Amino acid sequence: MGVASHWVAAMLGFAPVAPSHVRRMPVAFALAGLILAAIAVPARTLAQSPPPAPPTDDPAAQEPAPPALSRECQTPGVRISGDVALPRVTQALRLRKTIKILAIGASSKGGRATGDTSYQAIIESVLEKTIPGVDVQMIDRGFSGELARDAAERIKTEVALVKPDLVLWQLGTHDALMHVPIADFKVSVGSSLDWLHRHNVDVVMVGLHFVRRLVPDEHYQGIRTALRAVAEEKKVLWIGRYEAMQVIEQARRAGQGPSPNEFTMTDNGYACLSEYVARALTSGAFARPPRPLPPRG
Amino acid sequence: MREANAVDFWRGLALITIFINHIPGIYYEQFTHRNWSFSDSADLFVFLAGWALRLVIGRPEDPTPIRRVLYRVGNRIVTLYAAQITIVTIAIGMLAVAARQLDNPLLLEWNNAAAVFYDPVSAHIGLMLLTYQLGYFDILPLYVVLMTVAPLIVIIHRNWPNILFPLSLGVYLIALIFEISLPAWPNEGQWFFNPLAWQFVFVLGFLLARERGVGGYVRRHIRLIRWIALPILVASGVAVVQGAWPDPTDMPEPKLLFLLSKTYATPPRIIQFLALIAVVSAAYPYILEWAAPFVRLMSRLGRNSLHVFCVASVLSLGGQIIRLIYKGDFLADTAIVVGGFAILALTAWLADKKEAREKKS
Repeated sequence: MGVASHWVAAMLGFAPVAPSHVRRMPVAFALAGLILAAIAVPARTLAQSPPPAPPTDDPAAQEPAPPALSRECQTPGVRISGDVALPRVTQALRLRKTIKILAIGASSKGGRATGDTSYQAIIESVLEKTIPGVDVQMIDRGFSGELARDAAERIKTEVALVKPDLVLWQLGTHDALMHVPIADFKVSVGSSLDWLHRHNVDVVMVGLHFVRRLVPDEHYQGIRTALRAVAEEKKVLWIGRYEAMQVIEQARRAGQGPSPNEFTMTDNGYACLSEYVARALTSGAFARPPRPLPPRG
Repeated sequence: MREANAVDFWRGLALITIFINHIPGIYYEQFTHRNWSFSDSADLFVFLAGWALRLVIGRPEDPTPIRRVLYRVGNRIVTLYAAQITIVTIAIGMLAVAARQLDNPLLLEWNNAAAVFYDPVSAHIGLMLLTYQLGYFDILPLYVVLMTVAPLIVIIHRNWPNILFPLSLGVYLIALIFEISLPAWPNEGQWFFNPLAWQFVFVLGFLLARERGVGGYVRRHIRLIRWIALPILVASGVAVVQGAWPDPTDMPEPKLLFLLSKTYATPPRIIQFLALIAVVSAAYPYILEWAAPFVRLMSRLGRNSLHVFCVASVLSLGGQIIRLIYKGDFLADTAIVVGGFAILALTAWLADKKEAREKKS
């Protein structure tokens, strides 16, 4: 069973046995992780941790706690996602008890650890367990290695055909590696986000991978910074995979176990990504919408 | 060995542009015609594949026996399939070597290759079945499917010539209206080139190549058709450059009849493509007159299209890796393009030599 499957099973209470590399984790590191986990939960999330709600048929009225992060994916003291509401998702929950998610950008098959189960499938499963009564439809139109400008064109077509409530967009890594000019990248992403906003589609953007070798790469870092800046400027929910994986990697290197290689880190990045996205989505869906929603066109 | 001709010339040009377009971000991609066109080289490649089917079936007054057609088409399918498996295997190896050498696992995800490395059992089954396709290595699977139905196209055309066009159009419209495609696997989603839609481009190429029927009508009225096509070409060019095509969400249902989708080869794209070839084909005699060596070179590439396409596909991936190493440097881009052209020309020259030697013996 892959790492991510373990996390899901663990969250569901079905997996008494941890995956092999977790079992190898030094006890000291594990304890430190538990302590840090308590500190790591963002203040906003703590503040949002709801009192037990009376049972109701309306999923949006039941405000569940965001799914917990597994020990390996915790990032003490580092924000790994923005603080943005997802009004369209909230509305979908309220009206239809269904969330339709269009996954675009990198392929669902990234991440060896996911085995037969894509990270999108894990997100779907976690959300359905976290939010009682909700049906999550994940439409995967991922294409690993796609540039943001090419995805931008496809997004419009796919949104017209699929009519999603939310677009889950992994982007930036290939643009950085292909040395797409930063200004062009910002324009592509910014215009796509504007278009999605005009069409009342919520967005979760998943940023670049963390690879040690690319830490000193100015262009890679430039794209990473630009992506975050665009997300903040456009008030879009982002997942800082790079920042998260950097913290996790540093923690592991500081531990007593063998230092993970780049390939293992990328695998684990996908496993954790499922958790980050599910958590951010739950938080975003139950945050108070900042403005009334116009009717969908 | 065929003399230089318009079909081989345009096919050679399509191969060159495919080579450049498959290196995203390269400086020279801004000069390929997709920057002002709904359609790109893929449309021309598939259209001319249909056109080439004419050579296989013979002339109306001297038709090739159907057994012979089946034999030649069958051979072609096996060759195409082997070519696809070969170039994909090389591409996977290139990505793996580059990832190791550059200590960069992100390369394992390039061009949709993630499944090969992260889910190898399913991916290899998918590669064998052609349901799993690497990015930029997805047109030959379409070609295999089209050649598989080619005997059916030939039989229908021979026995019921008036049925082929409406039948192909009907399948195309059903695919678009009901959004039917072949599923991709193990990745979710669908084929990048939907065969149910792209067969229409293939059949158009086949029908327009014929000197009777639609092909004959077009030849007789080509001047008028060019005058009609010109404003379509200009308007679509303006729409692409200005980003002026209507918002996809504002399109009426069924949306795919109005959207610009490469996967479904949607009607605006096909109409623009037909306008493009109607207008641009007029330029061939002038290009031949003023740049004969260029025409001969492109024709050589075009008449050895499969060899050149396979080498170009691998070179494009090599170009992507070189761009990564040299950080998208302009000189590196120039070296990739110049070196790539030289290797493609050498490939075509070697293929010509081989064919000439085989004919002698």
